[in-house]
Amino acid sequence: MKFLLSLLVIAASAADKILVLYDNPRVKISHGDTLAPLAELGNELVFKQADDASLELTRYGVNLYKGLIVLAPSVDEFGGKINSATITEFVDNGGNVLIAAGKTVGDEIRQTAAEIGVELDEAGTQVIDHGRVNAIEDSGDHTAFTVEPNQFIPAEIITGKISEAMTFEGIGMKLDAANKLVFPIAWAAPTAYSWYPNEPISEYPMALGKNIVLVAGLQARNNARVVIAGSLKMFKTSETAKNILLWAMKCRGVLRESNVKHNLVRETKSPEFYTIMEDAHYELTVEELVKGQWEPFQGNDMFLDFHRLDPFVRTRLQNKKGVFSVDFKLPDVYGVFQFRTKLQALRLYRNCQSRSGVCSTTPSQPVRAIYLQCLSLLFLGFFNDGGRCTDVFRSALSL
Amino acid sequence: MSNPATQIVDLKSQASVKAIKTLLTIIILTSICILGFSSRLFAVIRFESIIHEFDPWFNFRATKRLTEHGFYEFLNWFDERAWYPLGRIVGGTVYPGLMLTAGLMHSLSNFLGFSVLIKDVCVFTAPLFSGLTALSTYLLTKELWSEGAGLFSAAFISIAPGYISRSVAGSYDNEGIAIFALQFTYFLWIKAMKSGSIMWATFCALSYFYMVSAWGGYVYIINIIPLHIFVLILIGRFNLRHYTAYTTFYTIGQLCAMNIPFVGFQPIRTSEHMASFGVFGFVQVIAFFGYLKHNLGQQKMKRLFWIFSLLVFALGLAAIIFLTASGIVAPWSGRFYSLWDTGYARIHIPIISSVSEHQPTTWTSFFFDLHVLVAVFPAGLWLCVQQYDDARVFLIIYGVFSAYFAGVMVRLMLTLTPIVCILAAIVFSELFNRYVSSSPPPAESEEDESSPNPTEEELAVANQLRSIVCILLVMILFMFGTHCTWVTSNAYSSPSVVLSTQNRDGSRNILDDFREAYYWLRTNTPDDARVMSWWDYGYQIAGMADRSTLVDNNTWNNTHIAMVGKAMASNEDKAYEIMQELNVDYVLVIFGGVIGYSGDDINKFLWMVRIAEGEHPDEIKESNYFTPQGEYKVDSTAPKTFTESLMYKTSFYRFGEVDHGDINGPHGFDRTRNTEIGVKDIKVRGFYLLISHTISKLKHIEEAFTTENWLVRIYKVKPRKNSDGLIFQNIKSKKFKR
Repeated sequence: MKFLLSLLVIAASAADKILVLYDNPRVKISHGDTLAPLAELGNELVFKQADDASLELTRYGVNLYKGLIVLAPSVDEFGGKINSATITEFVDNGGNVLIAAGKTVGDEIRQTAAEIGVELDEAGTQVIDHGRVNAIEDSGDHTAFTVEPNQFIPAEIITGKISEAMTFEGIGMKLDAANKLVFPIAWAAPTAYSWYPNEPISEYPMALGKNIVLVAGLQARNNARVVIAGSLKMFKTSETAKNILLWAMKCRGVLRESNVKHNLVRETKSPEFYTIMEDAHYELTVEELVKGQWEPFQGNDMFLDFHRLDPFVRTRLQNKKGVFSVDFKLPDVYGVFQFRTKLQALRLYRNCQSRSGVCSTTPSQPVRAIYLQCLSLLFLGFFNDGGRCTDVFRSALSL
Repeated sequence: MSNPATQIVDLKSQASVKAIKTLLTIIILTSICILGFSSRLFAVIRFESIIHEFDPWFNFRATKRLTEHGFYEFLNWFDERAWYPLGRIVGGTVYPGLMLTAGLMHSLSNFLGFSVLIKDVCVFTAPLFSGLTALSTYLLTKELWSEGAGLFSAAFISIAPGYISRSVAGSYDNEGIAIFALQFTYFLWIKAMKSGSIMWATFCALSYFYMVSAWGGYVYIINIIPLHIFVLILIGRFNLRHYTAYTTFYTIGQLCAMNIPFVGFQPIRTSEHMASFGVFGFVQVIAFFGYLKHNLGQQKMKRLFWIFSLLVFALGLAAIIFLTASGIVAPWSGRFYSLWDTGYARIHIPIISSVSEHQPTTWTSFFFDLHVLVAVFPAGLWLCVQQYDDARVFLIIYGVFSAYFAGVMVRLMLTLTPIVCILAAIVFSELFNRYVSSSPPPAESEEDESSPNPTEEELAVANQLRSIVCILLVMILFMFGTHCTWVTSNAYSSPSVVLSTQNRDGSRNILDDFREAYYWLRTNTPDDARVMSWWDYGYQIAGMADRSTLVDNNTWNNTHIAMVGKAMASNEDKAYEIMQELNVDYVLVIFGGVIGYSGDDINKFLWMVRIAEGEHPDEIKESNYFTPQGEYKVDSTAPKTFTESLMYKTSFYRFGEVDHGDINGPHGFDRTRNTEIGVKDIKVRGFYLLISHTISKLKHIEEAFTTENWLVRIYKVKPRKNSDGLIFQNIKSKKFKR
């Protein structure tokens, strides 16, 4: 009973606790501004030294915190029970992680980054940009440079509106193109390269120009978010840094669905099975987390797929104050179908091909914002209890 | 010289002889029925009252559905557990005759107060019907030849292995009742065409209707009977009686047949039925001209008649060809093509030729299934040709065609067996007639005149010879009986759901792995779990484990089967993508390497590859699964494509650890293929991500259950990893090492 109680306590308290690890206590002050909005939204920030021997992230398989923020770039080994494996377990349990690297990067951070698919460049290397040196911060090796707004992912839901350039000083990263879940949030300018400062270049660097990723993001399949930034400095007071932090800790850009319903038009109860060519009605309520409050979602790009191996019907859901619904005719095909909802901005691009003047329109998926998306799995033929959330159906992320 | 008294005595003795004969006939027929029934019970006695093999499990499941939900629910049944996610409209794709028969017997016996399990009714349906088959064969043969031949044929059919193979207790399949319907329809047809009575023809049509409802082999009837009529026309023996019988039979029969949802409009739309339709038209034309001839006089009509009827025939044939070519009438289905061109299926439809019972018959199996009958059957055919009449023409056609078809497909041995029994019975009956009677056979008159009367000595020799012949015949029949029992006991009485091995001391060892696995699925997996296996096991999983399957023995969708074949033949990553798309929860494979069971999935694997290649020629290539020498091997020479395929991995996972109790023998020795397997370390090593990505051999699935003798192995498909989609960066690259 006691055990159960303690579990309950853990679960309850994890809801809004965020562990912040630092190697230098000054971080509390220097990054205080960036962390402030988290506390304002009701999160309890727990500051701990990164090598504190009592550190732990999960207990009895349950996360102790909602999120983990590592502002300790130089730590080689974390104290207590934190290492790359436990951080991965933490993420698998739904925990969010933000890691800021810096000029020096510890092995454990490197390992953790590797596990989510981000390759940090070798120890000692830094991103160097002779073209955009920030003269005030730079110490002469051109490792501190400005990052313009257009070097950020054009997704306001992550970065917010970017009004000013930021200063980056730290290590470069590389992502694999085949990797679908991890994506760059910020990248270097074409003039940048990643190498040891003040050393002649003896071989091809890990990455050059735009291929150097400065901040990488990941939304795992369980919707846990991970952000890895190459520079700790970058996370000092700036609106963009705050927004990225909020996004990483799931305080913005979060949707939730509820009241998934489907039935015949003009009826209210879900039938045991539908018959082909009937008119069906599908609706769900979607809310967005705005400043700690759940509000009706404003977007309009919600689609419904009536799916059996392929989508037989794909239609846009009409938004009425957060209630998305559509009436549609069931296809003349029998089988076990799923209702899948999907948030995706479809834009028609016009590709004119060569001289023949053949124009084709292709939908592309330039959704930069990654929301908590929902899929409700229902069966035509036999239903469960009105739609359960089984998986996260995500939009492909293309840049 | 005859006074009334002796006449009365004669009549009396004649009557009593007749009565004794009838009594004997009844006794003989009854004992034949009992014999037929009891010789089909080996499986029940050795194992238990259990449904056998594959298709019977579906029939059983459907029957259960019928008894639980009623007839209309059954006709309307959409089975969402089969062919996930396509589903199957069972009511419209099934011959309901079998289920209805069993359901009726079940409710009848319950109504009478015998509460029987539906399972037991199903198990004993086929043996019960074997008795009816014997009776209808007796009637048919009696109608065509003599009562003695009838009794012989009834005895033969009741124990002929060719028929027993499909009708042992537990073999709850369409054929079990269809052979009865077939024989009975033929009997009624002979009755109808002999008498020209509308009543018999109607009965015949109704019996045909029952046949249509029971088995797809009804096409056999609807081609043989028109052929009979056509041949009668050709040899000039067609008459009004035949006209009446055929017209009545055709119209009523086809109208009834169209009431079976699965058959629907096929009788007017598919090539298989066009022959009967053509003959129907032809018969009308002939009758019309017969009428004209009757009114106009013979000479005038004769030429006109022949020209016109040939013209109509040619036109009809041309029309059928045209309609088929233009797609209005469906062309012959693949299975029928393979009847004409035995190589057709192998080239075009691997799924048909992958079924062992669709393979061409070997000569040994003719002897195996029919024993001496196959040897005397040509003699019977000859007797029929020698003493032919309108009805016996039918026997000739039936015999010739069945023999041809049985040679094409093992499965059609079943339709050959009845006619072989009949013709062999005719031979034996003639032989015994000739040799048993004590008086010399009435010699033909011409010979009588030329040859002198036999002396007493000659008569004595003849008597002795006769008894020797009789003894030989009896011995042959005795051997036939022994052979039938032996075959039934050894070859056809295995439920195949339960296996048995014999120990050295003769005691039996029951291997119940299949049921063990299916029961595990039934009790340990969620109700809506989807199990991926090769289609052979689809019906069993649905029937015993009650879980959704992707493909099953009703192989209606080749694309879907190819999808499963592709998953089995692909490496784990690709297979996982397919399995995710199909929402697969469990993978089930049959593996015989531990006990030497040869019918396992590795041995069937090439068919999976072939079928997958048929649909996905870019991704799957059969040649990639052979060694450079072109052999199919599981040892260390096996190519990488094969050893990395899902099938290889799931079959041999952890098998490298197995030693067979032989200290010197190698570990991982596959007893089915008698080789040491090539890849022995298919198992999960390491712990999480970092290491598992580089070393682990089973990435996306995990072993969930393996039965006692490893016969069935079940794997659980893991949910997509939280990190899946992340391509692991090569942490050991040169740069990181520095």
